[in-house]
Amino acid sequence: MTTLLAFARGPLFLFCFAFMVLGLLRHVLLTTWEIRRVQRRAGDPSLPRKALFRATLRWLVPLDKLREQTLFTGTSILFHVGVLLVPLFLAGHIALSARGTGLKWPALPNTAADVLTIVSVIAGVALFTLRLSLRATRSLSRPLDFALPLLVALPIATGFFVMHPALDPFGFRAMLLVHVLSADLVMLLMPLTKLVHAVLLPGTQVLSEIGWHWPADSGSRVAAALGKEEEPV
Amino acid sequence: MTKPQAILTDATKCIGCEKCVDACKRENHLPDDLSRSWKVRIDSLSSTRFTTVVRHDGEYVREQCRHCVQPACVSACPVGALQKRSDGPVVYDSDRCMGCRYCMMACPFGVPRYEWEKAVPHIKKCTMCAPRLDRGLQPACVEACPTHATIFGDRDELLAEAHRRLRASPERYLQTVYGENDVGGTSVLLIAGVPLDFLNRGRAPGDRPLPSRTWAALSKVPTIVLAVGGLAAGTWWITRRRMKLAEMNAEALPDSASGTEAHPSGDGAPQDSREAVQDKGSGSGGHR
Amino acid sequence: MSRRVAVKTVLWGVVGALAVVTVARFWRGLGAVTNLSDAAPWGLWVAFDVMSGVALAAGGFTLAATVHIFHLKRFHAFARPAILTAFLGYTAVVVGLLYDLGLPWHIWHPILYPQDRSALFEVAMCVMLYLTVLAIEFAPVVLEHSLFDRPLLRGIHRWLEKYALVFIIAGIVLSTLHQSSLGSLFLIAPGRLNPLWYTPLLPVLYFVSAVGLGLMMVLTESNVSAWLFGHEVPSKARAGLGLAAAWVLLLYVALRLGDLALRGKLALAFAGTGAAGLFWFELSVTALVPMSLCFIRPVRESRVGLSLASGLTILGVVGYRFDTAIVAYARPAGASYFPSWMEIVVSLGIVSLAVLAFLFFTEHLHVFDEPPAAELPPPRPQPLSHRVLPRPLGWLRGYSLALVLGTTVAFALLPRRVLTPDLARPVPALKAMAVDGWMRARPDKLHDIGVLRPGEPVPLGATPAALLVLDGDRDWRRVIFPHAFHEWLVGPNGLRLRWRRGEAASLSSTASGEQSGRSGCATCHHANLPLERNSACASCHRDMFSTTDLFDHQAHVVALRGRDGCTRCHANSALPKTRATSTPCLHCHKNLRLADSYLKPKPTLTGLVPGYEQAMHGLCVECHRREVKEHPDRYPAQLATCATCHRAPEKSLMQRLEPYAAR
Repeated sequence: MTTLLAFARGPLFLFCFAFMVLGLLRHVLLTTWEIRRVQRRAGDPSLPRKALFRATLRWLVPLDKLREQTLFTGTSILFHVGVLLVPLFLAGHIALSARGTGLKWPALPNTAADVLTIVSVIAGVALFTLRLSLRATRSLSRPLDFALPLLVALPIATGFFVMHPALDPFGFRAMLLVHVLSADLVMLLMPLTKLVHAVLLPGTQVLSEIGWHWPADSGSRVAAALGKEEEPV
Repeated sequence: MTKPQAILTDATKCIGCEKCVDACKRENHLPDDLSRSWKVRIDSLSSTRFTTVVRHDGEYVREQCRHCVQPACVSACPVGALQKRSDGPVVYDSDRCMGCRYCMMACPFGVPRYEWEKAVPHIKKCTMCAPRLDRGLQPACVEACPTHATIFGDRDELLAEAHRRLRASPERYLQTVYGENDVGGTSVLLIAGVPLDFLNRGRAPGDRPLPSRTWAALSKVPTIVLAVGGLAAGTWWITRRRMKLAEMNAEALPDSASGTEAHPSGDGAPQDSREAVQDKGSGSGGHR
Repeated sequence: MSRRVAVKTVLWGVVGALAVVTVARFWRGLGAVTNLSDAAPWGLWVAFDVMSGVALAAGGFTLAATVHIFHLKRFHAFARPAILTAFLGYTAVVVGLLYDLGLPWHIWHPILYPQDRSALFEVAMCVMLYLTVLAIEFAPVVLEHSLFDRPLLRGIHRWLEKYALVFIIAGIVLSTLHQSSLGSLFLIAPGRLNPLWYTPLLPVLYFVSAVGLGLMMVLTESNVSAWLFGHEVPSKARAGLGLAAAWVLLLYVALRLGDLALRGKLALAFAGTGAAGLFWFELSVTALVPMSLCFIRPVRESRVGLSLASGLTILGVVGYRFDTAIVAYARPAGASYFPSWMEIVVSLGIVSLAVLAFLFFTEHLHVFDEPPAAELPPPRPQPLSHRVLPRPLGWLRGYSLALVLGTTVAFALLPRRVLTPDLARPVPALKAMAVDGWMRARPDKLHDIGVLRPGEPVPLGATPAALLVLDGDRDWRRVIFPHAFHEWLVGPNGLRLRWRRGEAASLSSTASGEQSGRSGCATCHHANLPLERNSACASCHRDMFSTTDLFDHQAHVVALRGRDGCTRCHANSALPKTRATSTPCLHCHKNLRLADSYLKPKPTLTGLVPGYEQAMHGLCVECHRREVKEHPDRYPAQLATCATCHRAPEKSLMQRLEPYAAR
């Protein structure tokens, strides 16, 4: 167990972390490149920048959606807030970073982190249940879509027990191992699954905007493709 | 001070106190020795230890750069970063060094050391305290030795002194002066009661100075340039001439020259590859 | 085509790993990345990247001579790929040198400070000039491309073609010098290179083996490009090359053995030593086997036979370079060298870059006698995707993923000395202090943690012993150090400590390995080291939570009855659990505490302790004399007498003191 733990915290962590950073960077670069290619090909570099910015902001902070789909959106927001804040601003994680690299930044109070942790674990399970219970979402989902919220919740839940060994039903080292391994897995999967939305989300509006830039003669080309050049539209 | 100086170390007088090492470290501002992950043995020469006392079966010998009279390292260095001073020391100029470490490969005694752990590394070795010699002082190690096991002076005088000691107490000394003739002589002389084979390299290979062995090959470079260049040009001219003759023959015979014309490349430029493919037929045909 | 994509994907992965090692190499230095040492100053990078790289690029000048000097136009199909390979090979050599040189930004110094007695100077000049010549020889292939179709460039192109012969002859001369001067490098080391390899003929042997290898390289290149691009080269031309190589290899064998025989060293080759075995193995792989294969007509006309022969020669000649530079080069006893994985990654990575460049040039320029082979066929004209959707990114997604994967794997594997090298750096220490007192040892606890065998009495007497307060780890933190207890603990043979750990091997496998087999005081004090270097406390007492730590977290968890006990040390759960935020050990272990443990600082003794940092700045006897003078009650007078240590003169020599560690 000790060697496994040392491996999971050492080389495996380095690998997964670096893979997450570089993998996400690769997605951003490839996407940017594709956007530029599409723009060049469409021959129309103009973009409604202001509207785009507003739309992006609205999707990043989906408060107006809260009115339409209160339960789903609310759970989702809670889940994301916890998942983003707790791993990044936990005092213990910052202490580890300071020991390894010397980098430090302000931390959340541990009590606040505890609350956020519990909330996001509950929200993660709730998201899973909601997805399963609503027919529309159930038919849209693939197996991975069900698995991901639970998978992301796993390191958070085990992290809570690592912080509070007194409540731990299994044992500190076993819990720490599961915590580290599941966190490694999440980092590894980020560039490979739709968890990549962590970095690509701000770009989706630009993409769909560019997607609608059709060249001037596209209409006739569609007609040509369908073999109906002569018919009126 | 143009007379070559030297250091004579009498191994039978050394008590292994390492005052020389201490003095050397202070004189050269050397840091503590590094932990063992960086090197082979903690008490051998290193980038932080220009001199050391090697212990073997109750015998102590001080190891340091031998400051050869015709140093292999100086001749090996491609940028002249190592130089032999007329008064004895072999000194190092870190501004010239490019870090090829050929001196470490060339040294018959395996003396030069490298700062492997640094991002901007240099060669490190004993300088015979060249700055101290300039001020008219003795090397720090010599000055520190409490038993005068290691002494400094004119090389000729020290050689005479060494031989005097060998003669005076033959039962005490092995009848040889290490460094008298090895690789053409060194500026660090050693006398001892036992063979010093346990040193990193006790005895250098033969008395012939090492730089002459490289020079034997390098001095032939101009000859090779002329010979190979001339040979290549000559062969080119002869084969081309022969091919032209063959082509002319082939043209004279109406049946063999199908579609090949005389080449426009009279200036000898390499033909374009497409021509060369056609060339094959005429070339091999011409060799009959 | 998919073969090429697969190969390129793998190559990009290696390039990713190369990127990581590159950063580590130039950030932390050679020692952090390589296994090179003072005993092995030249390693894989010199033997493979530089020496073998130059040898493998020999195909360029061999073919240039064959085609342009001997006018054997049959081989023209090989000429351009061979020159491209040589150009890339030499570029790879220079790149490899940049990694290997300690101060790569001084690589141009041979021009500034020429030193013509050095074989390496000749090598440097040849690399530089020949790389230039190769660039000029290859330039026309680049200038043919439509991108460079401008008047000035066209003029240069014509000029280059006109005077090509001059450059080709210059290239041949430089190659001859260069291949041989790599052998001259080792002429300076007759005492260190094994006599089976050392010979004044080294330059000639290097040159002849390079010519043989060059011919075989061209064959291999044609094989590989046939595999990747489907280019077929007439088998007659190939067989001709094979036969030529066989004759050159025969000459090499004759020279090598004849030279040994003439110098009277042939007996060494039959001495049955490891070196002799290596010699014959190397010679067989290089020449004996491939030469025999190529002399048989059906074999040299078959693809398999020629591939086998050329592959063996390549291995063998590279092995010859390795043997002279590393294997057969004498090292001090006990020192060995095997390249680290990072050295191997750099070598592979540079080759990968060269191969990628080769593929790039062949895809975009007229290198082979056939038109450039594009990676993808032109897209089928589909009405919809024609203009609306761009062409797919091709294989870029795969390549970039391989690059990321290679980078991350290499990053995760980086050793600790790269990421945290400060652990190996010497740091200044705080001055030590001494106090009088003793630690009240509790037998039950000592039994519990296994220092004492059950029933064994506590070793320390009732008299106060000197306690040191010292910065044993040189980390600017002082700890109370009960010296007498440690003296007893490491015992006459240091066995008690090992027994306590339950395994005899643990001492040698942990950081205290240097003391294994040593005893008593020499466990920590090494009297033969200047400036008093002790083994640091941390060499036995490691960080908390690690197995070699004296603080046993698991034992505390058990002793404090499991879960509720955590708060005894980690009182505030809102704080991260580090050593700094935990309750100090003294809070519970009151017997370690000053007030409770009779630690009574004695003003006269508080201060500098001789023996910690200062002691070895003088001769032993200097302190001995002072101590005897100051404390005549404590020490016998003989302590200050020379003969106490330098005893009983034998054979009229002074008997010398043998320090602990040299035993």
